[in-house]
Amino acid sequence: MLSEFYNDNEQAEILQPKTISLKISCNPALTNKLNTALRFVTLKMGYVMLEDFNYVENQDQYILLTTNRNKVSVELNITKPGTSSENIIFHTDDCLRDYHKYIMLGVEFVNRPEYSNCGLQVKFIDDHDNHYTLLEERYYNES
Amino acid sequence: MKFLRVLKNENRISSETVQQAYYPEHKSDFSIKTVFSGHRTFQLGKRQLNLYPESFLVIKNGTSYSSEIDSSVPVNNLSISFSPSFLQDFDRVQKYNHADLLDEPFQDGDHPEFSFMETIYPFSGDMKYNIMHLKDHLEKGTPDDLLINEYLHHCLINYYKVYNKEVVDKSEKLNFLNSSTKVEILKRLTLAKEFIISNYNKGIDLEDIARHACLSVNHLLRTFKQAYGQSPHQFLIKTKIDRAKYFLRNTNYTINEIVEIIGFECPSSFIRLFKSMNNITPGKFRMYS
Repeated sequence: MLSEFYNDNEQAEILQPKTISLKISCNPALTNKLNTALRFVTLKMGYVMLEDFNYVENQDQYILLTTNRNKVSVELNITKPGTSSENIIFHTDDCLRDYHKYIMLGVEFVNRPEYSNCGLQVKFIDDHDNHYTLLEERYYNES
Repeated sequence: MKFLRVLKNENRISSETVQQAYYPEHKSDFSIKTVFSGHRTFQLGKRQLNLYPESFLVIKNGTSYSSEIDSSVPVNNLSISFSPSFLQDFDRVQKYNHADLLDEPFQDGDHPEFSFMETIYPFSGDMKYNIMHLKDHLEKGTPDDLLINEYLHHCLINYYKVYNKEVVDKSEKLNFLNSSTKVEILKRLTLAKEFIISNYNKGIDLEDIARHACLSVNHLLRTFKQAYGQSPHQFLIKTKIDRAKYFLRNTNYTINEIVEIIGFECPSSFIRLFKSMNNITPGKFRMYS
């Protein structure tokens, strides 16, 4: 059965922490909300910031966070005006996995994961009324 | 890797990689079958279906079937079997509004069978993303039944979408007033499609396909085009090209070997056709994949 495999994997991860990438996109109009958003990421979602963050306009930025087991490289992507939603977007490679994980951490989701033209997404909010979209982009034209 | 995961609600997921195996005739719950390499042959009554990585197979609750793997390459396959209660609950949530579900949260007594067309469907898009994620979690040994059930729930959501696209939408394109005639024609066209996919490399012709579908050649040509927007021959060519794409992406077979496997006359006609359909040569397709 699977439990023995799981234990092996757990052990392997503890011995060799892997770096995973978390990409956040937001509209320039929302950049003033980033500090509260990052506070939410650290307090509610269990990440720890390894360095201070100061937003610099028109510059690609990376923030290093960590969890108990993983270092998380956060890529901050400020999108062009008029091209993005009013939500801060958390990019993920597996929406259901992270949806489930964040529910367990007490994150308040406003809907169930739903499909759109660009993939699978679900919306959540924080205590400061910041709105987020957890988005798994999918490429449908591959055949 | 081989595993069998039985959840508390009796949903079951199993996977193994084998080159030779025979699975004797048995009945199962509603299930979804996939392969990620090679192919697996299913015998459902008189129907013989070959399942390749570009398709998934749906088997209805209570259907008796056997299957076999006999391959020169390892065949990685995955089967998901849904318990009747999980399936019925999903079906109710899709059909009824929140108020009705609150008034009657648990179903009692007999309910209509969750019935869909038992056949091969394209394995792509959200269905593929979802099953690949599920497989990944199971191979890592994720212990959480709730998470696994979330993926299974989305398997059904995605299957609904595929079913609507491949069956409901196609039947509406058929120019028959009588709905029972539409259903019967679509069943026979489904037999034709299955036959083409299962025998794409065996030199089949239009008469073979028509005979297998119990339709006259002219009737097959007319109705197939109405439903699927392409002729059986065009569908056969597309199936061959899709298989070629799989081999180009996932194997080191030479173009000549692929041409032989998919049953094309010669490499030059294959390359010409591949380029005209995809705007790229097979060699470049492999390079960029």
